[in-house]
This record gives sequence, C-alpha cells and structure tokens, in this order.
Amino acid sequence: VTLEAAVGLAIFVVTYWAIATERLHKTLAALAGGVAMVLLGIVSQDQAFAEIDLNVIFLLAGMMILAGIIRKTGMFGWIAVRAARFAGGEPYRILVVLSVITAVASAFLDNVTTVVLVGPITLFLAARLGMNPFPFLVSEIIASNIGGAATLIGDPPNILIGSAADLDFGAFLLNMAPLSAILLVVYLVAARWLFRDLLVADPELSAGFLALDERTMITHPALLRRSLIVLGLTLGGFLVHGALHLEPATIALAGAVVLMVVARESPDDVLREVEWPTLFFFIGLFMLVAGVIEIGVIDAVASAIMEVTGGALVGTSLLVLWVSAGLSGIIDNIPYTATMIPVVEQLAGGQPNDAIWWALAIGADLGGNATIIGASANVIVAGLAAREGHPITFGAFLRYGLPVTVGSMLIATVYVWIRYLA
Amino acid sequence: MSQERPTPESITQATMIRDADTILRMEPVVVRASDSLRTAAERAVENTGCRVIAVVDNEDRLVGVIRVHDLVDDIFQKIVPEEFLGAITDLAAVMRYAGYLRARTAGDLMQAPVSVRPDETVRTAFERMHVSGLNGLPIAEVDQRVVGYVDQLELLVVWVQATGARGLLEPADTPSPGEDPAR
Repeated sequence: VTLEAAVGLAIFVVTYWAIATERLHKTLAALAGGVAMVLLGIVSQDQAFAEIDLNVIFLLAGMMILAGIIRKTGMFGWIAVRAARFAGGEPYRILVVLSVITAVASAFLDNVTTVVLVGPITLFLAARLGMNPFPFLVSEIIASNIGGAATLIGDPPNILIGSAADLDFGAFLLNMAPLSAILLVVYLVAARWLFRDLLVADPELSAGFLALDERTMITHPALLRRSLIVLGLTLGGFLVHGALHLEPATIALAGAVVLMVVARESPDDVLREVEWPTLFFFIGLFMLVAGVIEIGVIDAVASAIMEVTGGALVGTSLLVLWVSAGLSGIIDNIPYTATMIPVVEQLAGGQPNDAIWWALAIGADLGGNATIIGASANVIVAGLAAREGHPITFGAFLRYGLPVTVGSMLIATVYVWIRYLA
Repeated sequence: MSQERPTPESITQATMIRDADTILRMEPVVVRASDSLRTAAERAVENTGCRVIAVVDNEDRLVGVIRVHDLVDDIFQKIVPEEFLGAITDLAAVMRYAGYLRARTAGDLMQAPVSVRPDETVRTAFERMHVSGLNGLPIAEVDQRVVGYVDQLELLVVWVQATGARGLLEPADTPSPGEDPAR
C-alpha cells in the first residue's frame, strides 16, 4: 500500500465517519473530504471536477425549483385536507390514505416537499383524534422510501444510478415501480397488524369528525394551473427523454425555467428554496469518490466481490442487493451509492442484463427503512415528530423498520430472481 | 442659562420607564408557566391593550413572554388548520406548525424572557422591543418580579409629545430642489 493510498483511504474513512456520526454537517464533511483529496494530491483537480455528475446536480436542482413553486400554490394543503376528509375519523384508513399520498409524492418529488405535503395534516389529524402520530409518521417514512424507489427521480440513489448506468426514466418505471407497488400493498396490509394497539382514536374526538373546508386553500389558482401544466409536460418529457436523446437533467431544468417564466416568479425567491446544502453534499461526494477510485480501493472491492461470487450474475446480484440494504440502513444511502457505483460498473460489465444495477437501487432505497437514520426522509420526519412532542426513538423505529425491511428484501429477492435471474 | 430644546435622542435617553408607564397606565397580563393556554387567552381578553403576556414561575419571577399574536395563532391553528395549511410552503413552516400543535401550557409557548426595569430608559426599552420583535415589554424589578407593562405605543407617545419634531412626522412643506411646487 502506497502512502498516497493510505492517505486517500484515511480521508475516505474519516469523511464517512463524520457523516455517519454527524460530528460535522454532512455537506461540510463531504466537501472537506473531497477538497482534501485534491489538496493532498490524491486526485488531480481536473479529475475531481470531471467526476462531478452534472446530470445528477441539475436534475435535483430542476426538480427542487419545480417543487418549490408548486408548494406556493396551496395545492398540497388542498390535497391534505381532501385526503383527511376522505379518510374520515378511522385511524387505519387515515394511515392508508396518508401512506399512499406519501408514496406517490415521493416517487416524483423530493423528501422535503413530501414532508411539507403530508407532515402538517398528519400531526393535525393525530392531535384531533387524541392519538400519538407515531404509526402515521413511521408509515410515511416507510412509504416514502418504497415510493421513492419507483422512479428515476424518486430517490437520490436512483438518480445517481440512472446517470451512471444510462438507465432512463422509463426503465426505472418498468423495473422498479412494480416492485414498489407490491411492497406498498403488502406493507399497508401488514400495518394493520403491526400497529393494532396504536391505531385507536379517542371515540369522543372522532365522533362528528372534521368539518374542514378545503375550498379556501388554493391560494394562487392561476399559478396552480400553470404549475400543473408545466409539471405534466416535465413528467411527459421524462417518459420520452431517451427517445429525444436528452438527459433527465435537461428535461428538469427546462421545466424549471419554463415554470419560472410563466409563473413570473423572481429567480431570487425561487432559487432560495433550492436545497443548496444537498447539492453541495453531492458535489463533495463526487470529488471524494474520485479520490477513492484513484487509489484503487474500488478495484479491490470489486475484485473481492468477484472472488466471493465467482463473477456469476446470480450470486453477485443477490450479494449487492443484501449488502446494499444492510449498509444503507446504517449509513446514508447517498454516499454509499456514490461509492458503490464505480464498483458495480466493474461488476456489471459483460453481464447479460442490468440485474446488478437494479439490485443496487433496490438495496440502497429499501435499506433506508431499517433505521431512523437510514434515509433523509427518516431524519426529517424524526425531527418533525420531536418538535411536535412525540419523538421517534432509534429503538422504537427499529422495532417496525427492521422487520419491514427484512420482509421487503425477501419479497425483493424473489422479484429480482424471477425478473432477472431465473 | 438658556434651556436647550430637547432632541429626540435626549428624550429617549433621559425618560425613565416608570415615567413612560404613567402615560397609558397599561396593566400587565401575567400567567404562570404551568397555566393552560386557555387561561392565558382568558387573561389576555381581560386586558386587550397588552400585547405581550408575562410568564412567571411559582415564585412569581419572570421566566418568559408570549406575544398575544402567537397565542391567537396557536389557538386558531388548532381549531381551523385549513386557514394555515395552505400557507405552509417550507420545512421551517412545518416545524413551526408542529411546535404550535405541541403547545398546551404557557410554558410550552413562551419565548425567552425580555423585560425592562423601571429605572431603565425609553431608549433601552425600544432597543429590546426592536431586537426581540415584541410590541411591548413586562416591566420587572431586579429580582424579576413583574410590576408593570410598557407598550410600544407609550414609547411613541413619549417621543411625539415631547419633541414636536414636525418635520419627521408630517408631509414635507418645502419642495425638494428641482421639484415642481405646483404638483
């Protein structure tokens, strides 16, 4: 091992440790790690900058801009109140409705936007029924990670994988959405049993439930119409971006620019809503991974996996599937996926299909359900629960998250086997 | 020795709070931290001019303040959330809403205590109101016992009554250079 490799590995390990333990803000940790790789000469600045995947950055930024404008229309509040009225005062029905909305929203919008959509109405309904919001919030975390797995734009690991493996929106829809649908249905059936003791409303409070009026909620009807048209066109653009030879990032940016123009929104206001820390987190990670590739760690990990599986598609896919799920429950699935992508690039070369890529996506997306720190949606919802006075502890979430993840992974294993390996 | 005409600065720096408080004679609204928000609302209604509620501990020492505006928001968000849900457009607003739902007692809703002593000046009171974003302040002795309430309006009246600085409060009566006086 050369000194250079040892230093590069040390930077990588310390950065991961800082992200996992939150000793530093994850954006700062990733940027510090990436910059250290360049400053210490582990990787040249040209290589480090070339590794920054602008497809990922611009796709995320474009969708954040779109979501930021749509949030201003009052549409989310309208959906939330309609859903609450539809669900009535029956807790399990509320859980199902909120989970389905969360899953669908997560498939197309970022996690923060999804929480803005369902968070307030969830807390309100629980308070109104005299319930602890725990079963609703835990279900929303799980639904968010299951729904996010369904599309190219649903979860950051998918965006990373789609860009690296050249898998388009349609490919994700065909390969991932069916699994997400199955998992969501199975989870919702299981949730009735899992939360049987907690889904109990105060009978006095649930009687004559809710006279909410959603009619006043659309604050900007004209903006809403324009936003929905542009969002529809953008989603349509995602469906055909492969045929148009355009990157999803181009479609997202085009949608964002068109909506900013037709909404007559000030770029200053709109761009303030972009989650810049998330974008810089990705930039730092890309630079960090450039260093890791340079020192040969990726080659070593890929070789080790090949040795274990003999390079066979079945063994490699299932190993990647389960290791990804296991590690994504413990560490942030974004740096995990960013690091694994160059490994899987080596493993997937020469294989007859994309099974290993889908295994990585499924494992990274669903593994996030195991613990309360497994994915960004989990952390945001936990923060919300704590603020409302019903904190979700690590252990309390694990009691539900771990069995759900193991169950999901068993179903996913069967799915991967039947679709790609049998 | 000729008496100098008072300036706005000299007035705000010299007028004690105990003197300013005699202008409107507003009574403080005081609740215990353990009192329910219902109690806080009932006390606030008994004295509608007071826009900042003083929250005290069991020994009657000031431990926090609640803006009446926040109290009203909190209660309405619980009763008619649809008036507010549409306006929640970012994560910070979601977190604020969660905080409102959590609040049950005055202690849950209060913010850090801000007050002014009777022997401090109008200038100090204005500074504290400005920094804390409050429309009024409890007047508390050194031992933090609440003895009164001073409102922003009282500070305004002190200044307006004493200065007669017309130029700053009324339309300009001399046109600016280059401005057409006929317009």
